[in-house]
Amino acid sequence: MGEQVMVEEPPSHQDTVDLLGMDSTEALEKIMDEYGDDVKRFVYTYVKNQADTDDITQETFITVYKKLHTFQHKSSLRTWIFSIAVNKSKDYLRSFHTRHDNLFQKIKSYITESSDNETPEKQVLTQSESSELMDYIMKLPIKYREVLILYYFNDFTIKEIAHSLNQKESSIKTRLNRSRSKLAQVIEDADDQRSDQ
Amino acid sequence: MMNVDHKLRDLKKDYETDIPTSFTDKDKQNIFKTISQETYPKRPKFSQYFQKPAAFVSYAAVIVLIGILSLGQIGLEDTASPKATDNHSTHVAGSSFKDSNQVNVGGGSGETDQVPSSNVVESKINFASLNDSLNEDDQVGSMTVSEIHEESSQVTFSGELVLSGIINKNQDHYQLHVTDYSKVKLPFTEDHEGKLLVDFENIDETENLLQKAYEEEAYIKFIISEYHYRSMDEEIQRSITVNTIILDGNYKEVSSQ
Repeated sequence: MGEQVMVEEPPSHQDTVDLLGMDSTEALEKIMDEYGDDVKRFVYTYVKNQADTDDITQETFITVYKKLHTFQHKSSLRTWIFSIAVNKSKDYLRSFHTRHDNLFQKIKSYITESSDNETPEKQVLTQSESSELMDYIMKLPIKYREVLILYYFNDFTIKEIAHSLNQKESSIKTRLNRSRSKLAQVIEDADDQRSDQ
Repeated sequence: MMNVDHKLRDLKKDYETDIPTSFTDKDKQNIFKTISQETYPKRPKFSQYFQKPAAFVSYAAVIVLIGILSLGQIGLEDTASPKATDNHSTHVAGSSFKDSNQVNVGGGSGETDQVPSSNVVESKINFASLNDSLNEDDQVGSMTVSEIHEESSQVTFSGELVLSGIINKNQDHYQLHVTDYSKVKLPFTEDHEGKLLVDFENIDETENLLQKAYEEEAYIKFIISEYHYRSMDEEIQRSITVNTIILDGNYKEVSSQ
């Protein structure tokens, strides 16, 4: 558990969108074509429902459009767009409305899980190992979940994650290791539970 | 741990398929639609045209009001100060005032002091020359010369005039310490740079009122009918005949003696 995994850094992303010589609308269209799916999927990992994902994604790209002239190329364009998406998603999660809804969802999922536990075989049969793993990731606390998703599924480097989340690189490394440990623990617990049954 | 790392690396394809969302053309259109709605300026409401001018007028009015109040306050402080500057005023025990630079001060304490000449620079008026230039019924400022007594070197002016100031007291004797504004209304006071003290001719019956004004250092007004100017060897004596006292908005008629 205490072992730290030395992972090879994914190659740093090169922005394929060249904004020079484009007007804002044209640039936005290119940006949405390039990053729309990734951003929307990433937003979904925060809010976990389609309607709010649509809204937050829309807000993210509108902010990109409005602030495009302030982008200073200190980080890559992708990192900058993702940082906007992160902030929008977290703002949403911090809102009173969301906290209220989340509490309701937790209660609901607790009840659902209790009833699901009655038929674990069914769960095993209907869920592949990979989607089960994805499920575990989605249930991790946000601070662990977001680094895993950015690192493994969006091919962000440690530096890019640090930029997007406005954290130090060392913090991101630590968090990434803890995320893996947490996930390993969850998988182990699930395996134990399954073997007991 | 290493196992988890490998599992996660293999999971990328599943992430893209398992997360049930994608960015569609409809999403794109919605974004452009929102941007276009935000970009085109909405026609402002008619009332908005008035907001800035109204705010500007309000600010200007407040500033002017503050200015007026400040100036008023300064004026009041000016008139309220004689009590504090009483020790430096041109006061002689009793009811007369020195015209020379030498003065008695102390509000009846009998203590003598030399005060700055600026307070007492009223030049001595030669009554003989005054008498030559003045005739009865002459208009001096807003008052009329009603009587000239050569023997007593006194000129009496008549005319209704409002004087304001605060009450000064010297050994049970009340005097009006007039404001600068009131001072200039009285004849032959132009050279008197300090606060002017004026005696009352007929105020005994309203002593309670004067005592109250004195104790409270209240701003008081008098409607006068006569002003007496008497030039003596070294002094000028001034007194007024009061018709009405105005204190705290209340009018009190004073019968003539």
